[in-house]
Amino acid sequence: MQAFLEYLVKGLVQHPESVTVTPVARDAVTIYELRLHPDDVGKIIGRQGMTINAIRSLLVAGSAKKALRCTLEIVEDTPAAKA
Amino acid sequence: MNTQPQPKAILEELLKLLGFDATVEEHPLDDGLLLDVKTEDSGRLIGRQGQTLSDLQYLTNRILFQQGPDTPKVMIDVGGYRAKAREALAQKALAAAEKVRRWGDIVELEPMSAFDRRIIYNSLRDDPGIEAVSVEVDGTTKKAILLRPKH
Repeated sequence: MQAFLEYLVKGLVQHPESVTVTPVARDAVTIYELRLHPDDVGKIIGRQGMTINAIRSLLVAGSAKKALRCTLEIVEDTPAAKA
Repeated sequence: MNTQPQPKAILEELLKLLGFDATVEEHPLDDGLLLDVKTEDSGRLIGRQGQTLSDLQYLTNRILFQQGPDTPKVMIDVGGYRAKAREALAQKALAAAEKVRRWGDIVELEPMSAFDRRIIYNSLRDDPGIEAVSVEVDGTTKKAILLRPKH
């Protein structure tokens, strides 16, 4: 699933070199943390969450086939914020 | 600026990475390209009311758009599912138009996605006596098409 997410997300963004996908196992669920160039975050979410929801939908369809449970979250690192 | 978009290759890669054992056939359409997916697991790929299939098509088109805004859109089908749904919609449009023509009333179709409405509009395009407009419907992003006689 990680390779799928990387291929898909890199195809959708302006800055594919900044895309990372990190699997985090929590109980029976694998959470894929997605980090992106700040300019691409809106693009991956899409209008009314259209794009991110479509990605999640395919992720669920693919992982259900392998009897896995996966979710996708966008992680926005805010360096040196909040002073 | 000479990136060659390869819709078939993109779709095959997505399916492979998702774990679907599938083959993709290309069929040219009047208004673009149809990619027909053949897989054992078609039900899972289509999803409830075709939702997974819609998502797959939407994302494939987003990738193509990212390669170049002028890239033609593709339609994705799984084992003829969409072709059947499309035919049913076209029939529905023609039946509704016939009703309008016969009784002169306004006929309202149920709320549909832009994609489905396009099929309705296309099947009525050459009908000079019918005017079709989309109207907003509360509680959904889908719109309903109104058919009425053109004066």
